[in-house]
Amino acid sequence: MLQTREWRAVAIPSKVNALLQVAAARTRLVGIRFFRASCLATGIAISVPTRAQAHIVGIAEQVLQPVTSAPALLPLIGTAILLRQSPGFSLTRRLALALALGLVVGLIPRLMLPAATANELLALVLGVVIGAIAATGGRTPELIRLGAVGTLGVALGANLLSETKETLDLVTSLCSAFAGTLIALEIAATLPGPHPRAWQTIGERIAAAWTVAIATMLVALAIRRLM
Amino acid sequence: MFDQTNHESPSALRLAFLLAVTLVCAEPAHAHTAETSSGLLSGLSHPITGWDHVLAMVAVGLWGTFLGKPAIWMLPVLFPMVMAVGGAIGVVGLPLPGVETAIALSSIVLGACIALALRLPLRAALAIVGLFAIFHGHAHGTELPASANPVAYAVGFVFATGLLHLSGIALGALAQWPAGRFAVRVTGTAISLGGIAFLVGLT
Repeated sequence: MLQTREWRAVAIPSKVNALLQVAAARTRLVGIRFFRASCLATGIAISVPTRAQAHIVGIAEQVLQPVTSAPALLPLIGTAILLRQSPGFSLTRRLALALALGLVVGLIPRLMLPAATANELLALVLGVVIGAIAATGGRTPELIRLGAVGTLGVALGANLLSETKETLDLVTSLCSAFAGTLIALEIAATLPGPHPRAWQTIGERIAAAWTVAIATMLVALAIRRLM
Repeated sequence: MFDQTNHESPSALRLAFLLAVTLVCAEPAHAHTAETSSGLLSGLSHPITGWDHVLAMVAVGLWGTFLGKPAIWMLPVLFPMVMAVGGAIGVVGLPLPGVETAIALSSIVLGACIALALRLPLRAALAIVGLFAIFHGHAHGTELPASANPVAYAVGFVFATGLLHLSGIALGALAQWPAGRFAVRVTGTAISLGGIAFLVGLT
């Protein structure tokens, strides 16, 4: 109830609020708070005034960017597995803030580094680190979870899908990436069910190891391209 | 959301079937060719197109089953990660001495561990498997094709390696019966002999 009141303070109209609650309850996958947060971020992204020229990169592509490119997807899988390893996991406001902060920090290499390969390399290295932590398994303290989500944000921000480097485009893309990542994380981290079996936990660690292996190989290939 | 009832009993049978398919697909003479094909199929086929790799990776799964928990899953977790590091060394062009010898030795040592039902401490087992994984990875890394789609290749490559481990684990599941245990140890002997054959250049 308290959480509901907090989100009402964001001034979502009551009818929209009710609709969102129904939608969230029907999906049963996405927590109501983060379903709303994601919708809000997508709404901001969509409501940004469109300019005269045709958009090459659409909102849908921007929302889906965490799951459509390997440099983003690998850290995302690693983070989801890491979060999944905490019993009774749910996305908290701190994790959302860490993600948002990471996305903004990730913009720095996105704007500063000249080659896309360098940004990919950065994201893949971060993917290796997150995946390795997830593969070692065990219950992780909140600080590490926050760090992993923040790192995921940096990886995504560094490879942000944006038409130009103008502020408007970057804000739109940031909001879209934030929404897409929250939804993807919530689904990926809660999909196997609240009480995973022993073989599921082992499978997750093996999947994390595979993520590390794939990311390591891609890091090597990216280095070879840069050499 | 998901049915929590127990459905996993036939999985050993399925994995055994997968092992059979994998072994049938392995071709002895085509390992380490500089193929130029790309993508997922290329990545999937690369680890299974050489008996030396197939034997060692199946042996990792088999030995893990023999050692029991947690080695049964820790070895397959460790192997691809360390193998990828070896692969990265190979991709960037850093040389590693005695790669082919080490790969042959991996079959000999791992096969012997299975044949003798050797129960080494977990750390020692991880160290042995990790050491050999570097050489396997290096061999794959240096022979990496000029792939048009490195992501698909890497996914296929790691997936195929993991399936070979799973095949070994499925085969190792036979060890719960006395006759099966004997069969698994005979398999270990065969793997070891295969390694000797690679070492002396018979294949």
